[in-house]
Amino acid sequence: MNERQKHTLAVAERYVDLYNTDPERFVRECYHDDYEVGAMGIGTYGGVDKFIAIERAVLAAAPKRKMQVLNIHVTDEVAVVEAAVVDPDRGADWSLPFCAVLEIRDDKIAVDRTYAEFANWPGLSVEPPSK
Amino acid sequence: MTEHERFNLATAHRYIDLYNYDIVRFVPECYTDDCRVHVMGRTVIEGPQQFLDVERTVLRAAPRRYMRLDRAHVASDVVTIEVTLLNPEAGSDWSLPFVAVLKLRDHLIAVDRSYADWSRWPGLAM
Repeated sequence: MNERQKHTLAVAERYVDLYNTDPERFVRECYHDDYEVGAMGIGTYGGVDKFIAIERAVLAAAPKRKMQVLNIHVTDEVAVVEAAVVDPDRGADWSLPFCAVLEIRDDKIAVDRTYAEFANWPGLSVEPPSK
Repeated sequence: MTEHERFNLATAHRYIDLYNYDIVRFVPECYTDDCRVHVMGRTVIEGPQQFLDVERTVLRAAPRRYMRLDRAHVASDVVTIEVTLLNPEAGSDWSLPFVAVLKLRDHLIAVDRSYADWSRWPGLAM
């Protein structure tokens, strides 16, 4: 792994750690101010305050929710995080797998494309696709 | 990108081409004989024959379905492809994005972990 890939991996590890410990720091310390997040198949959003509000809503709906990492794969500029959301309040065996493709710029996430069954994500009010 | 990674990327392109044009060749020419395909959150498909059976079911449900490769990321033996599934029969604006994390061995896919909104995938009743 080269130096750049080590930096990319460090960003992905911070993304996991702060998601699990501090949603506000998660957004502010992991994402650029002009980030773009794609909940793939659902829509995209931007804006730090909006992201923090979404994460707070998720946390309110599922206070014990955690991200468990399965694998992280890195290139020079992209981290692919295979993970699952677990939520003990939904049962010890409940989990929702997802994969986040994170484009990194200057040690922060510039673009996040996440793939999952978002209808099952705790705390997200998902508008179903029209078709 | 190393030469090894270039070969692995070529497998990912073959995955797209054969999925779109020849499903019978898709499985044996892209996957190892002991492949495992994880439909993440739903099930695991074991081996080429079961996988081919599933893909034939999908093809019967959506005969004109095809994939569009949006992005590919290569990290040694792992190729991650971001893809959109399209199905003109469901409407010109119907699309289903998904990501496949492909772990390769000898330039064939040994483990496939795919993530999507499976409830919308044609032909998959899980």
